[in-house]
Formats: sequence, structure tokens, C-alpha cells
Amino acid sequence: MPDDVPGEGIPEPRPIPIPVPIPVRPITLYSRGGNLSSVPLAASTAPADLERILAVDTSNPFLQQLRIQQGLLKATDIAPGNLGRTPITSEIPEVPR
Amino acid sequence: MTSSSVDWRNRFGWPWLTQIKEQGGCGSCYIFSGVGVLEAMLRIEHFVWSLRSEGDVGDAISLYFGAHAKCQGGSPGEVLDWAVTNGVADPGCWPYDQGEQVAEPTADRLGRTGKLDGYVTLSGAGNMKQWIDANGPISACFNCYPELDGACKNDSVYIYRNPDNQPSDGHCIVIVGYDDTKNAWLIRNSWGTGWGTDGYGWFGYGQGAHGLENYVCYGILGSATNPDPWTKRRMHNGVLYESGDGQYHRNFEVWTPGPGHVVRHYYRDGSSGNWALAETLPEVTLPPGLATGYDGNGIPAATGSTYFRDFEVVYPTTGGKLSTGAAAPMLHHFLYDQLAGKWIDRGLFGPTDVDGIPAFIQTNAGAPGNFEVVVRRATGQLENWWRDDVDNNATWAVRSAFGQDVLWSGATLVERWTANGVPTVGTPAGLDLVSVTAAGTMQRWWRDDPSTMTWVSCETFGAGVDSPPVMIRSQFGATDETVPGNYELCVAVAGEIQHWWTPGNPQPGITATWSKSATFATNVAGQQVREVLGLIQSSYGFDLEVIAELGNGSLQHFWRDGGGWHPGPVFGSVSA
Repeated sequence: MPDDVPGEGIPEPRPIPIPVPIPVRPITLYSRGGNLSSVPLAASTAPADLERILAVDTSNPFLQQLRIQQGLLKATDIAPGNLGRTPITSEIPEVPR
Repeated sequence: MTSSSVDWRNRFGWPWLTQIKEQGGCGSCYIFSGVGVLEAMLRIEHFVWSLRSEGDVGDAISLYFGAHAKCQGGSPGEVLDWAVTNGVADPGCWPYDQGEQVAEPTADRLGRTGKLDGYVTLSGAGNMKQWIDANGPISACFNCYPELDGACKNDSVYIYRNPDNQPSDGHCIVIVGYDDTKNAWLIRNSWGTGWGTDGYGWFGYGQGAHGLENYVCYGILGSATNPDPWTKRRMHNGVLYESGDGQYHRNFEVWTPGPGHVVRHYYRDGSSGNWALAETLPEVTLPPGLATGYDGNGIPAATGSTYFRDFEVVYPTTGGKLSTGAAAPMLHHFLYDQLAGKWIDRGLFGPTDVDGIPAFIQTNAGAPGNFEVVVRRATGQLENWWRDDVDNNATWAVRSAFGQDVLWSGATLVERWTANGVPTVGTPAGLDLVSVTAAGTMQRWWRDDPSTMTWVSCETFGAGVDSPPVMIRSQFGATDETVPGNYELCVAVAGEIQHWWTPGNPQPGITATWSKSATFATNVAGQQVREVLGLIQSSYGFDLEVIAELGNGSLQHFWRDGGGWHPGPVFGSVSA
């Protein structure tokens, strides 16, 4: 029998729906947007082997020197034409000399 | 041993990061985080400001992930996965906007994307510090509490407190440094300059589940980045161009004349540093009844265009072998189709009395941008030709003739700087050019694009100039991506090379002050420099690189680093 048709006696009480919890997001001044469920926890991820990954040449002469100093990169592994360029530390080269 | 502090805002005496950005009311921090790392690494590895668009990623990634909308959140890993396949274009190609929309980038997007070969997942503080120190900034995400909104003022260090037990949300930023004295990471946020200390903040080490070390981070190896031709369009001129080819994306390409009217293509391998002959451009296809063969007759000018990163070469012709039989030296346009892997003859254009070195660039007018050429005619005038790459079926046409008694034209055409460097497609910026007068001085010209597009003579400088100059706009003086760098000019005078420069964007009607920075010579015994053929600012630490022709026709490479100018190897010849 449809609910809207009067019947005999007192109708059965309807079940009260249980509200679905809505994720609580903080009220903030600035927007975010990071979906952390897509970012692995560091504890479950082995560190990268940077001794191997950073053992490559770079065009940046500052970093090339730093990697050699830190033992990440061997000067002998860099082609002579790409090794030993003196970094420009300021715009001094523009000054007449 | 890792450095105890790093700050990529200014390291080694140079700025490396673009201006702070603002994501607005859109949950897109993960895009700013991933793109921010790519942008920084393009600068750190290739020494060029290369502003990238979060909208280019966000509005396309929405399609990539189906119903995913850019403002609904995501992870930097997803952004970098997408960028490895598609690259990231500049805001002029498709800008960032807080609204949800589908990307409709300009037609030349494939030629204006900063590319990356891959990225590295980092885990733990040791990994993070070593990478930031020896490579560059990284992308990181964390549990972000409302208290961060007002944190990090005046260089204070943020430490999790959350006394009201507020819930957290995911947030992603770029870590651009650290300081063991402060016990803190330096973060670059995407909340505008009003947040933290001018948009940056110090975030305390550790902090367990509330810290930056709790989740993995992402880094891009510098040598895995590959800037686009559009970004570098002002940084090269003449026969020399740094392409994205090679393992390190820093090969040099050179096109020169050779015996028998050929045009040769040399290259310097970015891994070995060795020069080699790559190929000779193909014989030209002539109309029926005329002989086939080579028609090169002068110094070419080359560029990398936004047409799929193609190489484009323009060179003067013999004239006698082509056209209608009369001696009519014109300009020939060839392109190397990167998709098809072959050279394509795009035919003749220009005046029929070419008698000089062509200047040849692609501008920001339209997308793909127009080609512009200026070359000296036998009459002593300069003539400006252009190719409308959007509305006129890529047809070359003459725009104007100007000047008189010009001794040399050279590869000196450079697009001027738009207001604030805003990279809006079609913004008329004007052009600058330097030629050599009959009196042996150099003369700057300015094309008045905002109004009549006529060429206006500006200041003269130098003396005794007897060869064509080459000019570029460098990154010196460009304190960030909105500031124009200096003009750098090299020219052979009395057998040596002179290097001149002038700051910024010389204004019309104002006499720019040119300074001679250095004079240098070849180290080849008994030889002098005949002419400078090409000039670039390269990926090698702001270094300037020059290709010059010596008196015996040999080609020599010179470069300038922090120690001054150096003669490099001799690698070819225009006559043998």
C-alpha cells in the first residue's frame, strides 16, 4: 500500500536515515589542494641512491664543482671541454678590463 | 659532506627563482609545487628564466584524469608524470586561471614546452638535503593546519602547535633550501607575497606526521631538463644555436658556408664537448630545365623555431643558378623538420640583390610567431622581410627598406622587451638591430612596432668596424623573469674580436650607452679573425659562446666564463 493512502491503524514509523559523515575540512584563508592519499609515506619508501643518481655532469659550474668536492662526481668522468669553466660569480665580466 | 645551509633564492651570487605566484581560491597547490620545481631546474641547469604555466598543466590534466578537475586537488607526482609526456608550456601559450576550463593552448605549443626526461622520488631528510644542495629545489607535501596561514612572518620558523586541535588538509610547496642553524626547511609557497616572509617561510625540521619529511618528495635532475626555443629566442643569433639535442640537452649547432656553395651543419656534442660535421644541407630542387645543385653564397642565419623545435636556416644564394637566369642573389629558407627527421626546402624570398649577412629571428607576434629578416641590399640599403606565420599562409613579404650607405648588415636582430616582460602573444614589442655604417661605426635601429612599424635610427658607437656584428640579449641584468637582460654584441675589428654591451631595453629617442667590455684574438699562429659568425649565451653558467671565421677560412669557437674570454678549438672551415 502506498504511504500516502490512508490505511487502518497507526503506520509503522519510518526509519531515520543515518547521516553520512562529511569530511571536515578546515576553514582557511588560503587554498590548499594536496591529495596526500596519492603521495607515499616516506617511511614506506627506501631513500633514493643519490650517490649514483647525482654522479652525472651538470651545465652549472657551481654545482659541477660542488659535486666533485663532495665526491659525487669524478673530474675524470667529465669531458675536458666541459670541465673547469670558471663560474661567473657576478656581472663582473661586463666591466671593461 | 652536505652543506649546512642552502638558499636557492640567491645562491652563488645569482637569483634562481621566479617571482612568487598565487594559486588563488583553487586547490591547485600540487601543480604549483611540481611546476615550480621544473621552472627552478630549467634556470639552474640552463641559466635562463623560463616561466612556466600552471594552467597549461592544470587545464589539460583535467582531461588526462577524466573527471578530475584541477582545483579539486592532486599530487605533484601526477603533475610530473604528465609533464614528462607533455612538457609544460609558458603562460603566453595557455595561462593559469582559477576557473575550471579545458586548455586551448596556442597552435605552437609543442615548440614552447619546457621538457623533462624524468624525475626522482626522495625519501627522508638525508635524501632531501643532499638533493637540494647538489641539484636544486624539490616538491613536497604535508599535513597543513590552519595555523600555517599566519605563520612564517619575519623569517620565523613554523612549528606545529595546533592548540585547538583543528583538522588538517593536504598542501604541497617547493622546498628551496634549508638551514641547520635554524633547524628548518625554506619553503616557497603559492599563496602570494602576503604570506610568510614575502611568500617564503621557514618550516621546522622533523615534526613527525606534521613535518615535511613525512611524505616522499620529488626532484628533477638538472640535466633531465630541456628548455624550449621560445624561451631562448633572444639568446642566440647568427650561425650558432644551442639546441635541446643530446644527452644533456646542450648541443651547439652551427651552419656555415662551404666549398662548392654548400651549407654545412656542424655540432658540438654536449657530452663529449667535441665538434663534428653533422651533414651538408641537401641540393636544392630547381624548376624543370634548370640544373640542380647547391646555391649557398654567404653566411647563413639560423634559429630554432616553435614549429616543433625545428631548425630554420636562411642563407644568401648565388642567384645565378636559380630564379629566372639573371644573377639575382636572394635568400633561401630551409628547415629541419624534427618530426620527419629531414631538411625541407622552403624556397627563395627577399630582394634580388642581396649583398650582406641576414639577420633572422622568430618573434612573439602571433603563435607561431612571425619570422623577421633584415639584410643589406647591393644598393647599401637595409630591407626588412617578414613571414606571417598565422594569417598569411606562411608567405614571405617585404615590409620596408631603410637606411643608406650601410656597409654591413649582421645577425643583430633582437626582439625588444614588452612592458614588464609579460609574455602575451601578439604584444608588439618592436625590434632592435645594429648595422655598420660606411664610416665604420655601428648604428642601432629601432622598429616602432607599437605604432607605424617604421625603422628609426638610434645611437652610433665603435669605430673602425670592418665586418658584420652579431648581437643577442643575455641574462645579465635580468634579476628575474620580468626584467630585460643586457644586449651583448661581438664584432671583428682589425683582426680581433670586440665585445660590447648595453644594459636593459634601450628606449627609442634615448641614446643607449654602449661599453666595450673586452678585446680578444685567436691563438692560431699567423691568423686573425675575419668575422664573427654567431653568438649565444649558453647553458654553461651564463657563459657567452662565439663562432668566428679566421683569415684562412677556419672556424673557431671562443667562450667567456668567469675568467674572461678563451680561444677554443678550431673545428671546420668555410673554404676547405
